[in-house]
Amino acid sequence: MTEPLPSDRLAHRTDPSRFAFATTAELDDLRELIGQPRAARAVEFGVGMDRDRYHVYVMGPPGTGRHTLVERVIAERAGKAARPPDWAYVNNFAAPHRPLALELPPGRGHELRDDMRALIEELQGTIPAVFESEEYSAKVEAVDAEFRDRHEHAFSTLGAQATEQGIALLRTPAGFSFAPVKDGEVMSPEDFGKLPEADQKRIEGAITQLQSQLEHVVRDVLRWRKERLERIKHLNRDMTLLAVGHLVDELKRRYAGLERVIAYLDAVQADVIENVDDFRKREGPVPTLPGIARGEEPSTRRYEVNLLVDHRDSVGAPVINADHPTYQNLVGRVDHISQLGTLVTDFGLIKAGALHRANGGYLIVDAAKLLVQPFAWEALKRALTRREARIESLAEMYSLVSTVSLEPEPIPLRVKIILIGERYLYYLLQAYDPEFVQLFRIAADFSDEFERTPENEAQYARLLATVARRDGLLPLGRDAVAASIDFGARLAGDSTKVSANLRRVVDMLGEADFLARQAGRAAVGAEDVRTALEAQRYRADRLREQVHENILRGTVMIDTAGAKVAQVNALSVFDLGDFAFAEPTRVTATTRLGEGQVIDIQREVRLGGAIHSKGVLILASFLAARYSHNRPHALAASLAFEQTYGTVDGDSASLAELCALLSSLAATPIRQSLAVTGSVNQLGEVQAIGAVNEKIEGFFDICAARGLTGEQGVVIPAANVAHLMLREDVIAACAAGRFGVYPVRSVDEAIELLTGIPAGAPDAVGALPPETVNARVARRLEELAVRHRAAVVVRAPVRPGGRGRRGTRG
Amino acid sequence: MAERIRVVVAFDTASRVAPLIETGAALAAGLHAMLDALFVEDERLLRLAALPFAHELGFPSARLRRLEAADVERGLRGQIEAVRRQLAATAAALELPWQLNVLRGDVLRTAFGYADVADILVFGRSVAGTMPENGRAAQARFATLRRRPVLTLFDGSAAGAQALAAAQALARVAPGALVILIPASGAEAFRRLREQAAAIAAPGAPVPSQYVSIPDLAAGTIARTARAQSAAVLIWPGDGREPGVLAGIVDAVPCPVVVVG
Repeated sequence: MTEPLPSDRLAHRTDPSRFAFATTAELDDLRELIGQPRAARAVEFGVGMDRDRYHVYVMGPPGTGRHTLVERVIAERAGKAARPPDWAYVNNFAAPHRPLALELPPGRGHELRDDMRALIEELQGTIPAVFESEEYSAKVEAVDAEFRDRHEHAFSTLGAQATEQGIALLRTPAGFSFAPVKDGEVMSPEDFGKLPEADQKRIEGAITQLQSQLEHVVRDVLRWRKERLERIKHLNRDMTLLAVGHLVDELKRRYAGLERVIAYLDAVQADVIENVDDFRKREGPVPTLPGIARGEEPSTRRYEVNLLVDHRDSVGAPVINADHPTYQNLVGRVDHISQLGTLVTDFGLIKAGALHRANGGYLIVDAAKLLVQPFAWEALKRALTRREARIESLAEMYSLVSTVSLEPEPIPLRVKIILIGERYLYYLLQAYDPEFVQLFRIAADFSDEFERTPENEAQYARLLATVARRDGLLPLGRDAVAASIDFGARLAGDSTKVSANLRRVVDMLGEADFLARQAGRAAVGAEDVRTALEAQRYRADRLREQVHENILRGTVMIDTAGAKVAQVNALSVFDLGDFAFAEPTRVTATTRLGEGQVIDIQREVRLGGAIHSKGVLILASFLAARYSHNRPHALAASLAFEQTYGTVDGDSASLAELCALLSSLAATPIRQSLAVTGSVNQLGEVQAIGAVNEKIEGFFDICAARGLTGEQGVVIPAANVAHLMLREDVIAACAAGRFGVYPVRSVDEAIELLTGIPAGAPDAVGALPPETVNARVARRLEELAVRHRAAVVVRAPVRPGGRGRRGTRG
Repeated sequence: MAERIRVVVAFDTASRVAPLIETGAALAAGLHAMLDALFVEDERLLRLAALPFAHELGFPSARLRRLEAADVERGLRGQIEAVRRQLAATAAALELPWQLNVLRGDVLRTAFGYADVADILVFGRSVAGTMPENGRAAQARFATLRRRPVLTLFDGSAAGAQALAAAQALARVAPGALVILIPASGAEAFRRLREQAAAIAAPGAPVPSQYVSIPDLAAGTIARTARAQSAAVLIWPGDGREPGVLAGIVDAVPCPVVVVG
């Protein structure tokens, strides 16, 4: 008969005396990561690999130090790297909707921006001065005088010709006309009518001819006017060049070697000359419309420099953490402003994205946050594939707006992306996104836990010291360190490992610090740690208490004493995220004549998961193979989780179900003081299950509430002994012989414990000893087989399988 | 109490409106005078429109069209309205009292008939006409007067002294160069008149003065000198108030002509 485990095997407590320090104040900070050598090497390799498409996916559960490691490795490399170039967007004078991207040495972007501002300010003073100069006025006056003379000469000549013929050239409100003159006065119709017909015809003919000449003169005037405008324009260009030329030349000398900047400055000069009126002082009032703020002065905004990326104060390569990786935050955007109810934009409204800021360095992105943002993942892949940061308007891409937008020149991209996310995302992306495989060739896999070796425990102590200093907590006493390591082991669900999830430990330390300060202690002690953990448990304990109360009040029927046929206490785990607990669940079995089928009632009503169904099929197979290998398996059985109303999944109850079936077949009662957990295989071997600590504690709490008798205990798979990290009160009860934890390797060991009757092993010829559980089962099945031959068995319809896991797991 | 002096600005169809208003307003401001505008509808046009073959060549369209009396009437109303608008804007800006009257006849004769002896008359017209400025912003206040010189004729007469006083009034509101034309047959006569003019012009005249000798007072001579100097305005001592004397000068000179005295 299996004996209960000795109390020293129910948990592996860290001995504080092993530590050479009194408090963590004596310990140095820990810079390296504990127990993640594989992930650390992968990150170092991925970050250091200076090749395209070797981006890194860092996977593992949150709180395991993924960010810490990545940021440390990157910081080491980035600090030694050269600063990447500055980038600026400037106006493309040839095609304003396609702003130009200028690359400048780091720190020179703001110089260009300031230089351009200074240039424009200078021109705003110099150009008006040039155009108000005596020299300019004299030249304009000379041009005007020349054309005025031509104009007046043409008309006076024509006027003189008309006068010679007795005709006057007159101005009319809208032009010119010719009139016959007599004695210096325009002739009246009566006087004209009195003239001889020949004179009349002569005058009319002369006027017609003069009109034709006048027409030519007017056309000449128009041509001269155009010619004059050209001359003035040419003069303006020459004068502007005087003002702008030497200033731009000076700038070109400052930016010598930067061909694109030089070309831009040339374009600026040409544009200033072409649009010199924008710099000249306006004369008279400027017509404006209500509601228009701008327009008082012509805008010189097009000469500004939109400094997109400024590495003036940077040290090394940039490291950008994209906290909110929306499409626009990632690839940048083009803003618009409203003018007269219309949305307008220009290159000055281009805003950098994280890719621009990280260009030449590293971009850290949370995979889950990235993937939930519409279009962001596709945009990132597109940028990495094209190796360029291109700002594209989503609204325009999908024709959602018809406003004017820009097509900024793409910026060459050289960035290392580090995606941090959970494992399932990595495997999903790998399975369904071929581009992901091409782009993210390095995977750094963080373990959930690490080995509980003395070296790792010592490092863990330093880690706690680091956290305490970083977060301004009291130092931890050595006993608190030991308790924290124990807590880490409990989180790992394994006495030989410690959870790598530091977040839960950090949360606990903060609360323990609070308690220690309240108590006026100089360091956090083990008691503070335990109290903090108990407080955490209490805060999350409402549901557990409710279930617990239902059992104690008899609403949920769980026996913890006596013995009953075909009824076993199984154990179910409720997982609430950060908190999990277990409670006993009654499993019952019924058996009857049949054709070998075992009905899983949970599955029948679609409240059983696939793994649970698998467990039931395995135990059915075990039954048939062990007891009916040479005769018909004329059994029909039903299994039920009593008083469960949600989905049940997992196979950790299969041992309990099998024991219930065997009890039913053998008509042998089962001790209700024991609870059972474990899965079985087709050979009757008991296999490990999860959450063994919670399960033991769940049954213990019920028993303790009713009173510990010394008969009570939990049957667990022997393979789970290494995972035991039980609470102190459970261990104390076990040590006092008031509770027991029974490790079993086979169903026979379990059934012996549960029934108090030997299971019975077959002899050399396969005969089972009488009055053993197995003999009773075999006999019962033999009876059913005999009856089966004589009976007509009606086959029950088979219904489809169960649904997915929800709510609880076994 | 002396009646307030008036600056009578005479317009007709051929007038250069903007320079006339600029000159008239500057004088009115400098002399604290009233700006009295007179638009003279040219009766020759109405007579012309009655002729059966009367045609008008549009400027600058260069299109020939029949000229009807109604067209002339409508065109004149439009010109008067344009003058009224520009006058109102200028007078408002300078806070000048102003008025606009409309008469019919010949502009010189009608203006002389309209004005009193003490009034200052401003004329300015060109048969050649000027092109519209295609909507460019209006000239800054007295920009032409500041940029180009004021010409005034000084012949030693009382009217010549008044012309110099008018030039000084202009200089008060629009400081610029002053060119004094002296009709002299010889060097001695020129020196004497020059000293006389300088004695009158110097007090309170912050503008630099230049003295130019002219051989005669023929319209051609005056016009050539005005062109050579790029004059903004010519101030003419109008002894005798004979329209016939001035007609040739007003038509020939490419700037407004101010008649004083």
